[in-house]
Amino acid sequence: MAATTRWERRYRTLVSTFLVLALGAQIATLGVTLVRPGWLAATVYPILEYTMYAQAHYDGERVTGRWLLRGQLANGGVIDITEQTLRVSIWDFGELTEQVAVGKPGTPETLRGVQRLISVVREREPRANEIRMLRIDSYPMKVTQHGAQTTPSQTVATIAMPTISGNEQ
Amino acid sequence: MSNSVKRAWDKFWFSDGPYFDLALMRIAVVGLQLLTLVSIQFESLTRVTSLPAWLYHPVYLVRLVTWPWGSTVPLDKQLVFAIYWMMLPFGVGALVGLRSNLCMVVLAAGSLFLQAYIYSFVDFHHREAILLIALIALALGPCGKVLSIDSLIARRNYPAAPRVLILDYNGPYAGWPIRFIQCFFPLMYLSAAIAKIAESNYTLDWANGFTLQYYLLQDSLRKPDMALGLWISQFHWALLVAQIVVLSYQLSYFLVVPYRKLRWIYLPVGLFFHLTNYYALRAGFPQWIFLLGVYIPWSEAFRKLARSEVAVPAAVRQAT
Repeated sequence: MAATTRWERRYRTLVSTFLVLALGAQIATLGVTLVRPGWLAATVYPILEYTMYAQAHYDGERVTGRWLLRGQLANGGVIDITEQTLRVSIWDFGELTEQVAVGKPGTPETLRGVQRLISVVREREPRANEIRMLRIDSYPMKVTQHGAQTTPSQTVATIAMPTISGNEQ
Repeated sequence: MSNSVKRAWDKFWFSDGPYFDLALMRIAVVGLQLLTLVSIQFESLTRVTSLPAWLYHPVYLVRLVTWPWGSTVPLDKQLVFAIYWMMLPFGVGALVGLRSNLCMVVLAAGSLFLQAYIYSFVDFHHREAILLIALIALALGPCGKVLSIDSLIARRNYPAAPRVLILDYNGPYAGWPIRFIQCFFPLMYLSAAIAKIAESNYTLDWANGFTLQYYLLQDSLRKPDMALGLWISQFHWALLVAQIVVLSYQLSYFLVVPYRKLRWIYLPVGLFFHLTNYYALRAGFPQWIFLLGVYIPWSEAFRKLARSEVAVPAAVRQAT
């Protein structure tokens, strides 16, 4: 079991360093998770916190699996803006809308989220030029002991859509 | 490091292990990674390379690698796909065990970089990380000693070398990559359990039945084919029990490392847990399912199977 050659000693040092770094880094994430779960995100990938489905939910809580993004047009009409019209994945669509829907108003993260959403809509929504206002509505569903029940949808965020000429200034 | 600690360390990591088990791990891990590369990663790379540059927030690994070229801007699409295409032949080499370690190193480095690059844009997932870490461990271990073209070449080049049965061929460095993944798994499950407790203000509120009902409903809004999940979401009390089992499982999974017999319980439960996750929540973790195989002593199992006896009715009739 003892290393006999110089090559073996070097190899064991290399492997031991790898083991200590990989396992040590993963152990260190436990401390982060304990204090601030999810904080690391993918920063030190492939070392991750495993915070999947970690938040607790309760009876009667509204299901916010997705947000309904709508554009109010200059002519008064309203259009649905979906992941298909924006040509992003459903997960990216979720990220784009979630930050604006649940973020604390006025914080740098929320403002960045708003800018991001406006930019994506402007670049990818075919009727972007007609949109005057973006609206995010909650999904009309809540969880109960017997499964899903409907609950009225509510508007959680409205964003004035800057005109393109205004944005270029 | 004191001598006793060093001895214990060497005994744990560098005890003899079967090359056969390591080679099986290589074939399973590389095979799955190749499948992922062809079926999922190409599509993911196509998607992220079409996203606007301001969505690019490189993770540290990508920053480090791309630092000489300016880490704040996304890489040229052609370069990204050049890395992708270059990796495929090395992946095939690693699978068949031709220049195994060289191919493994290139495959591991390339796969890790591309996955980290994909996750440098908006969204990230947890399933691939363990497979990438396993690829690195395999690249550092003697994973091509058997079940490989390398071993056939060695056999031809050294015809007079002593022979040993493949299942009995052991070495001091064949065990550590397997033991490493065996130790890594409990840390992932523990992380998942701690996150559930910490997110609930250090209570066990997570396991209240409603949480799982909520996630089944939530995912039904985002994923196709969630009929089973939607149906299950009606059964509050069954889900409450399931959540208690999940949390207990994740908190206590580390016991499988010192107590090998517990694997008879934890592996089937884990398999059931991940398969249910897939069918009910459409949360596929095939990498995790495959890697649970590291807890099975394959060479021992095959040896037992090869030595097991069966009754031969025809022979019995002849004898009488």
